[in-house]
Amino acid sequence: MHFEDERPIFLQIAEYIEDGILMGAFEEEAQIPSTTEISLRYKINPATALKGINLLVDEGIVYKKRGVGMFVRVGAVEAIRRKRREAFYNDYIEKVIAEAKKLGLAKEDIIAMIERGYDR
Amino acid sequence: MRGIEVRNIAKNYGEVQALKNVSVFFGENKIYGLLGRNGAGKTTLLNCITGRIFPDSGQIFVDGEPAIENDSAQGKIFMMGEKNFYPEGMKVRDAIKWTEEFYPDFDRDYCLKLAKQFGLNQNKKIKNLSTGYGSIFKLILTLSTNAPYLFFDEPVLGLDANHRDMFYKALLQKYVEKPFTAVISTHLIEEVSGVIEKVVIIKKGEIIRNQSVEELLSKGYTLSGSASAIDSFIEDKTVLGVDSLGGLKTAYVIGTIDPASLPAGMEIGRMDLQKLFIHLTNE
Amino acid sequence: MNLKSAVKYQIMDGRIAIPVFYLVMFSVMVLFSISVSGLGEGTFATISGLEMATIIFLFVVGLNAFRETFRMMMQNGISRKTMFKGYVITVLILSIGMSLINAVMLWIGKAMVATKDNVLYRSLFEQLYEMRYAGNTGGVQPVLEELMFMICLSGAAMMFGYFITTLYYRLNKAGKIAVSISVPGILIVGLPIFDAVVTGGMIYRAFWRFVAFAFGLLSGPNPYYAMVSSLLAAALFAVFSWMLVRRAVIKD
Repeated sequence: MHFEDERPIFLQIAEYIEDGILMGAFEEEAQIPSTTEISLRYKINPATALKGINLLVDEGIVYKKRGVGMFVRVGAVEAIRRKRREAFYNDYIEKVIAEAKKLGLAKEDIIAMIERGYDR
Repeated sequence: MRGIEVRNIAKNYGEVQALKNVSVFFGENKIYGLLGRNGAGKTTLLNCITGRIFPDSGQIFVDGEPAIENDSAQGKIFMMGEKNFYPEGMKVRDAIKWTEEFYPDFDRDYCLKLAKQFGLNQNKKIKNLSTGYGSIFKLILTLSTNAPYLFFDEPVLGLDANHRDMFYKALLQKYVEKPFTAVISTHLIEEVSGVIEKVVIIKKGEIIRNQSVEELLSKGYTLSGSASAIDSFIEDKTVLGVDSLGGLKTAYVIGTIDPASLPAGMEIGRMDLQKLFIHLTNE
Repeated sequence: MNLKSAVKYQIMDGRIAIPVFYLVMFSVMVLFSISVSGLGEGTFATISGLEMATIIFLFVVGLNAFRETFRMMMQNGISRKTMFKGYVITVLILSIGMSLINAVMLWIGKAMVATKDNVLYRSLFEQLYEMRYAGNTGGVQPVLEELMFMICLSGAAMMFGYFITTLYYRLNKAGKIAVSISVPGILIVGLPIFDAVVTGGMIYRAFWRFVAFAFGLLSGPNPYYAMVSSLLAAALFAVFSWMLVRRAVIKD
């Protein structure tokens, strides 16, 4: 995680946990790191870590077990995938097209590149 | 109402107005960043709060009690300043002993643990400590007092990268275990921006920003593109400043914008605290 | 409690100086007793000076009691008020303590030379007031009065030193220079010359008459005059010092 990155830290925290869930590092019903652990590991204010986790709670990706900690909800993987698929266009495709236009690449050029990438 | 309330403080040194009508509230259990250029008034403000100097007007309250010449109020505060106020010939271990005497909640075991972790030699006389270890000595003491309000004036002066890392970790560790109020006054803005929750920016004796880091950064954006395109686009906007490199320009704008409304060839980005600070506090 | 800690700290300052002082004084006393008694018949010596040395020592303690302590107190959340009260208590403790020790040392000194005919131990108090006791200074009354006399004088010395150091702390550079030049200048040079030339020695005589009066030498002699004068002086210096301390600020 690089905090020179553009996005708010709490968003990056949320994404980092989501990535962990997607990759299977945090399985469904398993516990995720606490705000304290995150705060200390990345040297950020606990309130920021909490904000990131609360974001995931609001999106139904994790939930709180009183007295124990935060756990991954069943179905979280699907929920994250769905969310990110919807955002995929804005987060990635638009940027690719903008850059391609800058470079003078045509639509067909991009499509060819995508095919090349998937074939590998 | 728990917290340190500074109300309309003014302080002049001859012709110079070091503080002009400063009001700020440091609430319970939060980590604040007090940012300002050299001579902006940070240390003067902290010195007023800790009773080391007297403001010309205004009042200061600690948990509702007047702060000036009040043992009970001052007993809740501990500040590490840039200068050392312990007798120079005193040994580190004696300084620890005396701080413990004056601060009954002092945690000696914790202090010794930190001293070991940082490699602080307790037998050394304070005057023989290097710049870095002078800072380490002071910050270890500060963290060990268990006072509810801790002020750190340039805490990492002279510290190498490892020790700086250790400091932020120790600060956060203590904070999560037993929350307190910390006010960190520093120039190292980027380093501290993750650790602090709220930021207070002081410029020429006046507070110009006092809000959470998130709020502050979300109130603006950066715009990069060709100089001509940027110039025309920002005409009707509140611009803090611009960076130029040849024909490329980056503008720091206050406000919000819909990314979709951007013309092609222009990129939008997020404000970072340091750039924001620089442009806010430039002439 | 803050006051207790403030006192503890200020006394700690003397932790090394005081034993060293007594070690030196004691050694001098012993050395003199031995060497003088070794002189032959017909020689006569009087040993005194412990009290004067103590007064000067405490004056110097007062001179050093502010700056470093003030910074330490400010760092550790102790108000100027508490620090000053702590100093006053320190003055009491040191004055009483050292005066008691001096009384004991005087007794030891006298005991050491009791067997020798040509050496005599006399304290400052004895030199000033022995007429009061018809030469017998061994009784309870003289001892008690000497104790009280020393305590009052010590207190005044400590407060005087403190006043000077706090005055200098509060003065700016120009003020310090002005005081450092004008005060000695007037007292040591200006006034004596003026007195010699214009007033024909009247000021000198009046001054010493006043001192003699304040010490009760013209009234008995009566040490209670000296005690009152010292206490008055101590109180005055204390008041002035407090006025200076209460608005003292940390400078760089």
